[in-house]
Amino acid sequence: MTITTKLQYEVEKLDTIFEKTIDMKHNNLKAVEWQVPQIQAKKDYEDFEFQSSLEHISNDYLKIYKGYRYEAYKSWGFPKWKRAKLDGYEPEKYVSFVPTSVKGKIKGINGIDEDGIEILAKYDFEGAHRKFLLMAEAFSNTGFYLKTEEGESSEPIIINYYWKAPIYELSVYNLRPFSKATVIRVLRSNNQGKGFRTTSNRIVVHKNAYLELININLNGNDDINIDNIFIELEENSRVEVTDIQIRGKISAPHIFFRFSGKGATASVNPYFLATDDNIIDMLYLMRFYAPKTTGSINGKGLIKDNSKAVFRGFLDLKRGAKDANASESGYTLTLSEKAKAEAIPSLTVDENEVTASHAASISTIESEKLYYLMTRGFSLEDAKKLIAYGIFEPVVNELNKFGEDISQEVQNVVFQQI
Amino acid sequence: MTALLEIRDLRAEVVEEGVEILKGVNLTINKGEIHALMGPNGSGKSTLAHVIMGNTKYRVTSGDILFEGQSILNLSTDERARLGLFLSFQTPEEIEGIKMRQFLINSYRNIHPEDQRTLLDLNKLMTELTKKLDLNQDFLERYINTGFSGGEKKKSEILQMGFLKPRLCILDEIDSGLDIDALRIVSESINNFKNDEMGILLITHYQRILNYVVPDYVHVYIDGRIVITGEKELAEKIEKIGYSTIEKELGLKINEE
Amino acid sequence: MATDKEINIEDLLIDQSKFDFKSQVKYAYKTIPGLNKQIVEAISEQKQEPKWMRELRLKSLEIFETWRDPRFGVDISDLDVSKIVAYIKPDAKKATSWEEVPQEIKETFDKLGIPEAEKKALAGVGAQYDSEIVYQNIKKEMEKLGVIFLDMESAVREYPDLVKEFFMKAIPPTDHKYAAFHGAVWSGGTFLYVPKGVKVPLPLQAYFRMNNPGMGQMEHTIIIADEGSEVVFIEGCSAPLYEATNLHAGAVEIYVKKGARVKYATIQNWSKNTYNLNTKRALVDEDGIMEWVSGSMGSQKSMIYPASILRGKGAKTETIAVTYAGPNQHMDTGSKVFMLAPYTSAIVDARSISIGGGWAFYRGWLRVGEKAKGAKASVSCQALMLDNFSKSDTVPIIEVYTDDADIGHEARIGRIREEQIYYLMSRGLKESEAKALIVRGFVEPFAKELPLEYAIELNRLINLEIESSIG
Repeated sequence: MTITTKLQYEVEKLDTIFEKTIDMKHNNLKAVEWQVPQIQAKKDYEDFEFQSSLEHISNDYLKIYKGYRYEAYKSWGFPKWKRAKLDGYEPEKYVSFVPTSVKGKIKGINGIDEDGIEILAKYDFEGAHRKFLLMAEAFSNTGFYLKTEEGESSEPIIINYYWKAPIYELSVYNLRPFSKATVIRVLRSNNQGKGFRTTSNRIVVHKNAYLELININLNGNDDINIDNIFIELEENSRVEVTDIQIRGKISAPHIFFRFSGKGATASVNPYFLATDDNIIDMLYLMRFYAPKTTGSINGKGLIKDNSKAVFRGFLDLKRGAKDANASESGYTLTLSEKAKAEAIPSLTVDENEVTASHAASISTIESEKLYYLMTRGFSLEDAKKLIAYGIFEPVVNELNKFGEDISQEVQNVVFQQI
Repeated sequence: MTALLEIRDLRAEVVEEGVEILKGVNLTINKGEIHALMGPNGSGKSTLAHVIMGNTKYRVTSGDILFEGQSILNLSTDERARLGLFLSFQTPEEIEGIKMRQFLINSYRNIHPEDQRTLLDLNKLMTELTKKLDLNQDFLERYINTGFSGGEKKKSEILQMGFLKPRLCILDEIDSGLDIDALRIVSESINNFKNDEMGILLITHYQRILNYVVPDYVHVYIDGRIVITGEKELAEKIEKIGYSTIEKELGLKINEE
Repeated sequence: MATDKEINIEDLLIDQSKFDFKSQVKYAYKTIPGLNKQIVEAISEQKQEPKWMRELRLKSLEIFETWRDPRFGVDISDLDVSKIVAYIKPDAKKATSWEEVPQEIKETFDKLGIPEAEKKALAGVGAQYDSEIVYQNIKKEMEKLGVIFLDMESAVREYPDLVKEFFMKAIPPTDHKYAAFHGAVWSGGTFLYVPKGVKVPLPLQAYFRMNNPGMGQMEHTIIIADEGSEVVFIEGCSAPLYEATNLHAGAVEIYVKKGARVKYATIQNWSKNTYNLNTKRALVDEDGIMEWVSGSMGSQKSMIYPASILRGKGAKTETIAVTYAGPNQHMDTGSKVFMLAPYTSAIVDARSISIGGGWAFYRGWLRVGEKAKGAKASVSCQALMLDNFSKSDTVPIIEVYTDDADIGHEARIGRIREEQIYYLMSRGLKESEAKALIVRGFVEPFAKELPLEYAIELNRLINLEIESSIG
């Protein structure tokens, strides 16, 4: 079976809404789409790893689901990523369980109910790469099921990930109508050896529900971190995502917003900082189907040393998204002559009754600003640091509301690295 | 007595274009003196301020700048600031992500490293100054000059003058864009902050502010040079007859933009 | 108040009737459809080319046969090269006066207004009919200054060394599959050399006309602006509408030497059965200025991205482009700028109009290399969607590999706002007039870069006389 028919089979089986990342067609016209080359791993995960992953699962539906995903997994190779400089991948030794510490009301994925399974079955997406998404799902060794009750508004949930072994996360969040939730996901590098994480998160925010999601990724220089998140927004729902990406050999967040309900609103505010030979390759995608929806992507970050940041912000407005309001801005500050900044903003529009715009800028610190600070007695170096830190100040400030320790931790890491 | 600031036959050019823009400036400012530097738009008055402050956009080709008898030509901008030179910008820079409060404290510590005053004292002082200048309560919590109105930006500069206690203040068109109430508040503050140890170089296009901040000397600056020096009356004369008449009297050519 | 849906689409569509006439012209020589070694050799034989050119053609053919289609842009899988007639030589000698041009061909260009424009406002004209230039003339004063303005075949014969030095050097056959295709079967086009310090006072023009169904036009243009020189070059193209697919795969190579300035303006109006896979590239040396003015109106599918490679310190480029995508048109257009030297600068202003189900896609690539200290670039894309079943996309790639650069990009997609129409109607304009006025205003930055005759032509092209039907 070829890869596409395989996928087709899979989709039909589960009657799934499958969202492609790039969806380029118009009436009877097609555009040529870039196909990411695949490389088969010399030694890929097989039945043994899959079976050990099932050891911690008692939920039959989940077992079946994982079975499908494992089948699909086998038909894919690892990607060759040109911009992120990934030339295929050789999986690390598999560990079937990784520890996490959790504060707040959230279950392990094994506690998923029928509603949750339905979400798994109903929504599918490509992720940063299909192989990595399927890998997280087939070989999950951690994961969560968040379900709020209708009208419920709970205390912030904090998930701490510990990088003792490769992390494979399969999670589902199910925010019932009129409920509110805050989830803070903190990943810390142990800075020893090569950390690897790939995730699969499906989030459904039902009518009038509100989700605040804060991802804090404190990667080390040798870590690979691929975070795949799919968010379905129903009528009048609201989602605010803060995505902090600090360092990493390859850090590849992939966050997909699907605006299916009228009046839904979402924003994502990425903050990134790359040093040394880091590559941060980001993709934030908002696809608008419903009228009167509003989405904004506002990325800011800085790069230094030999690092590279690729900022992709895609706004895709489908016919029917009348009066949608979509905007994107990306700003990269370059602090070293060897650092590489890339921006790929994309605006694809099938509906003309919309407001849609994007802007990207890449520059170094303006000499006038440095001069101004120097007239106030700051040395050149201090002035640079101060302005660079200024990029992160709003998010550090924002984190304060969840306790000074988290805010302080991020602040310290940023200060150390700039 | 050594002069506070002495500029000797100073010539400078714009680095990028190599065009001479200061063409032999001579100026001496003593402690306690207020000097007004007046000239038509585009005559390069602001450039003089930036050359004194050491902006690397300009290169000094000859002459010297002495601060209390010592040449400062080899000092960087921050080193000059630490000596006590202060420039209020015609259009102050907006810098996001740094709050005014943090900025002012750091600046104060830069310029007065020996000062023992506590954070509490400094914060109190800041708050007093914002009140004096009739600035909004949230002023100190906002990012540096970001989203400020034209008037707020000018007040922000004068607040810094009062807070940082410099010894030589160069005020570059502090009066431009101010309405009459703001002009009065700013002028009063300047007079208030001024002391016998401080020298002021007030750069302006109009005579209006000189009714409030009374200068000891008035210099007319045309095409990269001081062409005539007088007292307060000179400013009034300019107001009446305009720069072009002065230019004719002196047999100079200027381009009023 | 009327909404967008009530615009009569017909009124906003480009009026093709002026261009859609077929002529009966005899042919001196014509290859069979398709592409193979025999055909390539036959073309070379017809042109009695030197050995190096024949070899370049054969090498290009090899590349074409082994390479895959571009992995982006419009879907060209239905383009069947084996059905394209690569070379059609009209039965006409190259003429330097219109009197010598055969009557039927002259009538074609008369209808297109070329001889008239030449008299009024041009320093020289080249006119290509199918695969060969049939008329090429430059004013005597220009010739005296040393300006060389020839059809490419004559240039290959008369200035072999000069042509060899520049031919397919900016666009090598290995650039992409259709550059290789072009290399194998190119025919016609212009060679222009402007000597040091010479400022050509009036524009030069080349006009390309395809008259036969199922043919390919593959002209090759080279412009060399020597140090300190200046020239404006205008390119126009059209064809009558046929059932069979026509292919246009031309190449334009421009060499802007130190301190020189070139403006290259195109008004592309191929018929809706044409695939336009054109390549345009300029290499710009120190302090040189390259201006692209690019209007893509016609064709069924287009892939065209005028490129400026700024390789000398202080080199500049400016691109102003308007793309029009009407019913069934898939227009993949854009701009490519490589900034490889210090203090280079680039401005791109790209606009598109989509209507009647058309698809306008802007594809940009801006690279700022490691050596481009002090580089400045700003890119702006604006798209106007005139109805709700067309599509408009903007996908730029920005790569900045130096720390001392100031790079900005912005894009906006929208429709004509009702408030604007209301405002204009309150000043006494009919709704149709108001809409026409707004569309005209939208393309104004492009129109004003064109010489007056062409700006008028553009207004006629986009038939904005929306007098009827809305009321």
